[in-house]
Amino acid sequence: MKKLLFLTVFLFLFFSCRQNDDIKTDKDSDYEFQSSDGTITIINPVMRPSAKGMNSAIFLSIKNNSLIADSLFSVESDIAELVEIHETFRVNKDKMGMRHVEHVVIQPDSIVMLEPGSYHIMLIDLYQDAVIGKEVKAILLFKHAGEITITAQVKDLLNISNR
Amino acid sequence: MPRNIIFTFITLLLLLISCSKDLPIVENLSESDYQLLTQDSIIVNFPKFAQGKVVVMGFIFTNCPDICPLTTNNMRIIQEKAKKDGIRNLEFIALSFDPDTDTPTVLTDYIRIRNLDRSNWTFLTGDKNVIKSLLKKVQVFAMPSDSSTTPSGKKYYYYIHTDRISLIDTEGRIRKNYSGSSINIDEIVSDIKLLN
Repeated sequence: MKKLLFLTVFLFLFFSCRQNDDIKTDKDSDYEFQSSDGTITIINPVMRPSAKGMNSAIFLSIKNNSLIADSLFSVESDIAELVEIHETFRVNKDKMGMRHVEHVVIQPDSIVMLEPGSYHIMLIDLYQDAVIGKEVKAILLFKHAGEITITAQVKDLLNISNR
Repeated sequence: MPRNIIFTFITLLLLLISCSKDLPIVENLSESDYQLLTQDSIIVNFPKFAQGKVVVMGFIFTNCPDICPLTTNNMRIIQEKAKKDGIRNLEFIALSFDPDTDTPTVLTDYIRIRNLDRSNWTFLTGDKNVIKSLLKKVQVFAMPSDSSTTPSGKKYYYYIHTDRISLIDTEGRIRKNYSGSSINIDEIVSDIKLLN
């Protein structure tokens, strides 16, 4: 009987904790920006801290809510002299590189992550310091969805994607 | 021989092996001497200036917005964990493989914007050929590849480079290499404790 009671309490606590995790995830994903036609949603844009004259990157997720593919082909921001879409790539087991890409395609009803170790919005030659806590505006240009203005929060990003 | 004695013997042997301090020597730098420049423009002789301390060494360039900040962040996490665990006699070194860009002033800015703890962390730059020679010795590859040119004509090179953090013992010998951007923090902290 005691064992049954213990098991019940344990299971209750376990699922309570899981529920809390879910709530946290939902709250995090509330930081969103949407295109005027509602077809594209930008989720949680964040920027790495960097000093004036140096480079930085914006990471975010792009959700395509429509039934046709769309593509991000340009980004504008007053924070840097030049803004490009870049991709980090692995050369072999332990070598990494980075290159400019013309666009990122987002297939219908799917999400593309611009994340550490993968695609990112490259900010070249910052006009001012981007310190932790600061907010930076950028305009994302999509082939179908048009312009989406976002605000990225400057944060330390600690993890690399496993892609 | 009774079975339980054999079992006990094998268990003890396995325990002994797993507790061994013997991290193999990957590269011996103790006889090498590289004159480099710190973020404060002080000339130091590497690895001599850090000899007697266990060294966690990362390889970066400051124009890198993705992989190198991850390496820097990982070094900071290792530094914080080591401090929390009471590990002393530990030095952190970040070597730039882009000395043309990464002058002491640029390195100082890189440290400032990230609010890094400089108490046991030195950033190094220096003469291009000296750095090239050191990179060759430690088998770190770094080569400029793609570039971007700003409207005002500034050209930014991006390196293809080895993603590396190295652990160096108190005598200047590399004992283990890790992926800088995705290092297992517990693993390197455990290895630091073995060498300390």
